[in-house]
Amino acid sequence: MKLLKLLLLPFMGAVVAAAFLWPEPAKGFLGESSRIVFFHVPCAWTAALAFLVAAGYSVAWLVKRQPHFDEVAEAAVRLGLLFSVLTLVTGSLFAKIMWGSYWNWDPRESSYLLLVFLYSAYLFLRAAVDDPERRARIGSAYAVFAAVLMPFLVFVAPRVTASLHPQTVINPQGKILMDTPTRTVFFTALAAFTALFFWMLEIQSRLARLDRERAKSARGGAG
Amino acid sequence: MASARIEAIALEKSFPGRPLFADVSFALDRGVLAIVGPNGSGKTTLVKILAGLLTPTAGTVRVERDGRLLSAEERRSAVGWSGPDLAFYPELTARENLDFFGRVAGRPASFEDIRSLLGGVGLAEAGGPVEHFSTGMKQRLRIAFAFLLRPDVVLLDEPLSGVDADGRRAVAALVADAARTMPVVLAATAREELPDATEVLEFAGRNTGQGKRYK
Amino acid sequence: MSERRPGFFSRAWAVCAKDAAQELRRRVAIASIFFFAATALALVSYAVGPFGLPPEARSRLDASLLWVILFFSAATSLPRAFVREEETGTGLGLRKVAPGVVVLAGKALFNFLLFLAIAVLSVPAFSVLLEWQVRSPAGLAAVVLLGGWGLSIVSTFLSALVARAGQRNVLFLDVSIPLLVPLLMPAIAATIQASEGAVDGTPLRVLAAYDGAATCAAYLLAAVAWED
Repeated sequence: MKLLKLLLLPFMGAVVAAAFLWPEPAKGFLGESSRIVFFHVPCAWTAALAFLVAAGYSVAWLVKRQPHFDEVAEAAVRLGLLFSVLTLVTGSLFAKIMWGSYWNWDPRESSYLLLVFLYSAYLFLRAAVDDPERRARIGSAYAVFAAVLMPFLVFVAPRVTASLHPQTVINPQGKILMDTPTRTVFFTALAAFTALFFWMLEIQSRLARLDRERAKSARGGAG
Repeated sequence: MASARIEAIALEKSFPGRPLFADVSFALDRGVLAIVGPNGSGKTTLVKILAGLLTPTAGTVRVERDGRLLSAEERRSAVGWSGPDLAFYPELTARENLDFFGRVAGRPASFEDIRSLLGGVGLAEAGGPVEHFSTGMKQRLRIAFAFLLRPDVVLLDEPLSGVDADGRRAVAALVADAARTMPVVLAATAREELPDATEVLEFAGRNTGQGKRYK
Repeated sequence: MSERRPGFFSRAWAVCAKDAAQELRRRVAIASIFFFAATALALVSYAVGPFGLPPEARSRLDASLLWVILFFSAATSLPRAFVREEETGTGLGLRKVAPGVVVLAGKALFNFLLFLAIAVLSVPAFSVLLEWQVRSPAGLAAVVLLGGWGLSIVSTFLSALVARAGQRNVLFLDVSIPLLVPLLMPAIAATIQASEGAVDGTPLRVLAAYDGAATCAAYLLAAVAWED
């Protein structure tokens, strides 16, 4: 496991280098701007993955009621927020190059802004509750409920209204519209960002567990 | 007439940094169990756990009717409860409040049943919305609520709080009548505040974590 | 012989009827909701009028304005479903006698009926004041029903969560708006289609799917959200 973590840094480095050096810029995009797909889409994918992980661990907490599951869920939401913000930043840079403005209230752009609000709301809701058991219960209920409705936000609603956003990887034709080098770097970048997310998640949840155990020791083992 | 039993097995409740009580056990078939202790000792929390309103940190509550263990859903109507923080809808009358709670519980009470219940606590003549009720009248309504769903077990937390002499007699009569056929659990800060009890469970005070039991 | 007990819907209806009785007796809350809707309508009508919008953008903007009025009028009452029970202390008695799913269903039903009442009054007034034409009344009815139910069930569920936390009114807007936007977008799209008479069914299907998903999730999570 430690070896895999050590390999992650050079792996990410290779992905970043390949993103700039290997595939040719895609047709229909200004200059080198198409290379943003190797960062923007993995960030978006990771943000969505984080929320699914949060929902999964929230279900686990609801079933088992073990504090560790709630800690992982909260850590996943925080990371989901981070990657959502990165999605918005990379998307805005692309929008500036392609359409001349950072923000256009494009439905797909806006759906990730709402995702940021959604998971900020999760953290606000938790922050308003003092009792840890109740906080975990309310947070879990909200995370699961939001995860059920999230596909409508991220996948369905943007397709109901007209969008400036380029054709996505998941498109109505069911085809991957990329040449081989682009496809190779793209899917490798997806794997690298996913590995990065799980590594960060493990660190965050371990920190949360240490905090809980320290607090328990300070109370003398009670509660 | 169904026979009921309530049993607490090693109940424990603690909040972060604040243990409330531990290892509380008792079993009651009929008669009155009085839980006494100072403010903050955990009496109200224990009664709420018995009523199913709170989850214990450890331990179990068992309620049986005719030897059969009742499910959590059955216990909602089988266990009657009233406590000092039970409030009623201020815009509705006493009769409307009880009628509503009966309907939403899935056990609607007839007009005569509600009138009889209100009469039993001395509220037969009380009209108008509950927001105009005095403290004592609201307390009497709480007692009526506890008996509304024809329960098999009754839990009354601070039953005589704010109630005048007439009200105390009415409540004592209700409790004595119920205790002949079912378990009744009462809680208060002092034993003198309660009708006669068969058994007493004493909560010693804050954070001691133990309940002592004596007859 | 066992007596026949009222079923789930009877119990939920009791909650709905009680909420209605409370609101009608208090009157202030109901009046303020309709006053808000009337004020919003008047302001929009004054600012835009029947001829203030470019013809090519009218159907899109009219549909959006209508849903802004409906949503924010409903939002003045939606958070109160469970929050009021906690503030007045009546939540404890309700939790004692009924499971969360019964209470949630009853309150969602009340919120839905209230939304329909707002819509029944606001939509014709909007149509008159802004010369807004609806070529497919059936399509409009469908979107109001589907949109109204989605709005009600999501808001009621979130009200249950927020009721157990602090800073309730502020918190409700924070937690609800991100989850309601995926409802409002297809609702507006379907309203545009209804006004133009070109209903292709896609946004209505999205609404129906959203309502189904939200209802199932709320049903399964009701006990967790409200009980201790």
